Amino acid sequence: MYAQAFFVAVFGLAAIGFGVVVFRTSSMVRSALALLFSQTAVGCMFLAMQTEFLGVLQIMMMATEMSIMAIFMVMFMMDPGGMGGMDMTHQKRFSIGAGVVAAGVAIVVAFWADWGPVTAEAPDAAMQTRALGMELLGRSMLIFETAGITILTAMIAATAVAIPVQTTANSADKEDTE
Amino acid sequence: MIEVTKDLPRSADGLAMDWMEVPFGPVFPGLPGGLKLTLTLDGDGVTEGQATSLVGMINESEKGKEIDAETFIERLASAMPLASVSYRLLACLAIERAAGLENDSATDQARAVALECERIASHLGWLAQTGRQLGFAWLTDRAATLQLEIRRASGKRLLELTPALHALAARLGRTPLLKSRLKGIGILPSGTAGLSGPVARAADDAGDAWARLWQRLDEIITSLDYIKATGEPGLPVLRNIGRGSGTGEATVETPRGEAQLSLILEHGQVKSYRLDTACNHHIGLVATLVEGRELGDALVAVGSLDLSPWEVLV
Amino acid sequence: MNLAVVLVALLGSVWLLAVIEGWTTTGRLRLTATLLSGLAYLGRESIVPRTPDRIFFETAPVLLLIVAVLGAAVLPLAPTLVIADLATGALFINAALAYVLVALIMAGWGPNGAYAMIGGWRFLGQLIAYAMLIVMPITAVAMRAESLVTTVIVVSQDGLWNIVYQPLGFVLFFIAAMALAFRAPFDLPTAPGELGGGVDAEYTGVRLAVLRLARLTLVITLASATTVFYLGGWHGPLLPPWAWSLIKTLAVAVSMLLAGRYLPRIREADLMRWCWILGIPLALLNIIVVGLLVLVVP
Repeated sequence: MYAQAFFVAVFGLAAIGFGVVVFRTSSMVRSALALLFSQTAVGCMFLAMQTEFLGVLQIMMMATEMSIMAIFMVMFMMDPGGMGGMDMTHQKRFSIGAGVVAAGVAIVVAFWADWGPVTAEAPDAAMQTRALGMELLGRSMLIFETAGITILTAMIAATAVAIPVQTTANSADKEDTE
Repeated sequence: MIEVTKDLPRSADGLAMDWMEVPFGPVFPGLPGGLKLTLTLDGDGVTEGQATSLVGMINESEKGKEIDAETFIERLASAMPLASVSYRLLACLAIERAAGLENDSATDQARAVALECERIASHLGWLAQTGRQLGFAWLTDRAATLQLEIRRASGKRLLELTPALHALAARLGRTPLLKSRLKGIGILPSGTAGLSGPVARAADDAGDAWARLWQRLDEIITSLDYIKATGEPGLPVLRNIGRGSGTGEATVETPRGEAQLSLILEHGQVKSYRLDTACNHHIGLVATLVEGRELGDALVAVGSLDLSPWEVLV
Repeated sequence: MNLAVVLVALLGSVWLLAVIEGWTTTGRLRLTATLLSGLAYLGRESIVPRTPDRIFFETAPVLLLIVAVLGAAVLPLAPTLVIADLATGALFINAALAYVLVALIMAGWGPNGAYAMIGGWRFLGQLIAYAMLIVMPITAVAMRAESLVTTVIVVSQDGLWNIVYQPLGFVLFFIAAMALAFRAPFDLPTAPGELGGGVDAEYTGVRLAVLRLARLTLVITLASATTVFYLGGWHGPLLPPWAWSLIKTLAVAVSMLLAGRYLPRIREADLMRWCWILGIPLALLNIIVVGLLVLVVP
């Protein structure tokens, strides 16, 4: 019990620590990978809380996602290595305010919400995986399928918007600007 | 975002990114040693590039300094380590013509066989280099072994190697992925200026790296047939020119294309000379071949030209 | 105890693989050459490039080694000889191997060199190509076993190995595993002829030794995964179970090695195109076929 609490605390602090690093570094790749390791630490918290499937899934998904995010950050930022001393922050006052309010709300909810009775004994990992599968393909199937289709539509739409339209007027315009 | 990137040059995919100028060579595993390729990279794509030779030959004699004919031949042959027999032959021919010697059919035949032997060896060397560039370890090993054997071989031993060379060509025809790697890469249509040698002959076909591979493999077989029909190779040696004088010009079809040498001979001494080689023209094609290509394709295209940096004149 | 045995087996396989690799390239079978050249790396100067991202540069080889070993941790050598018999073993190995990408991006970005950086980002593109072909065939394997536990997956192949039951899945997984281990012909991130070593290019001395060890361990881990998922794991006559696991793993690893020797490096664009246009539909077909077989055949 104490060991479990200890590991949850360690991984939780690691998640916060890496989260801080995300904003403390000027290197885009470091920032993206710090976010990755922050999320990995959250995955480890799941593992420490005996939810094996969710933990492993979190750890797996984040590696790819954050790496892809890293390449986009490198592509679109002027100083991806953070060696040019460029200031990357903006709207400081607003973001501090928003951060403080969000943290306050989270703490209030954490202490005031009724979390129900503490589970004495977690079901074993195989049972959890089975229960999760039943949940995903049963009651929650519609929600997940809707979310999936929505994301797919958004991806296709984003790609379509990003591809420049090749018309004669467009190419003439391009030559003018050059 | 738009404000900071709007003045950056756009690449083919429309994304504005930092471009990097990256040197490939003069010592790079996928390119012939001494060739320096400078590519401007936009991610994994090449926006522009050019090739220069760091070991090229100086194309004029020092003013007023005459060179002994034998020394001239030795110098030219050793200045072109990738095709020394061809250039030795070229120098011999030019000097003999300047001295006014008639052609001698027996010598010519032995010399021609030696030239064809070098052509086979040179093409095998190119295959080994291509294997290294493509990460095709088997090809590198096989072609390099055969190349060494051919360089040491007599006419009879050459004929014994014939089945091995046929097998090599057949094997390459069967290798998966090779065609998709080379087909349509580095296209040089037949009208392109400055083409010579296998590159020009492949241009009559499809003109891509795949066509050049097969052109060279075909030339290996053709040369073998010629050697089979003709006889033993004989290293070109200068015939007795006495203290002849005059101007001479010669052309030799080296493994990489046509090489031309004209010189003025005075009392058995080379007074001045002028050389022109295929690689000297081919190196200028690199810029158009690499532009807008992916890095891997650009390097394959440059490799398929079989540039010898030694044969570039500076 | 299991931990020690599996680690020794892993190291032994790596050593054998390195010996065989040396044998195929030099033509000479020298049992100690690998160890000696490994030791020589330790004695050599380990150069740090100018203005590196020091954290990434130092972490990458170690991270690659760790993920390769973590992947091997859930793969059984024998019914009880496994470091961690997780309930989500088949998913866990995916999670561990996803960090190969992270390690390569770190190794590419860290040294502050163009060849390495292109190599590192190239692997991201490669992941987009192979990732689905790792996950989907494993899904079909888990469907037959009705479990994600690796030992149960091996037991489910008693009598009929998955290579016979779902040959399509095996072919896809084998190819994708080679791409994941960035072995030739999928060695785009290192590509000696194109990038002069790519992510390897800036590493020297002891760091290179760790990187090489990690790459070989990764090959063994993937070969072991192929064995567990498709070649019936420890099943086999006469010999003890662990021996069968090791023999099959080495056979798969050597075949990966040899396949690369006789093929030129694939073009990135072709890899992407074939994986998506051909590979993913085939992987889906494999899932459907296996699903039908599981439902229809008792």
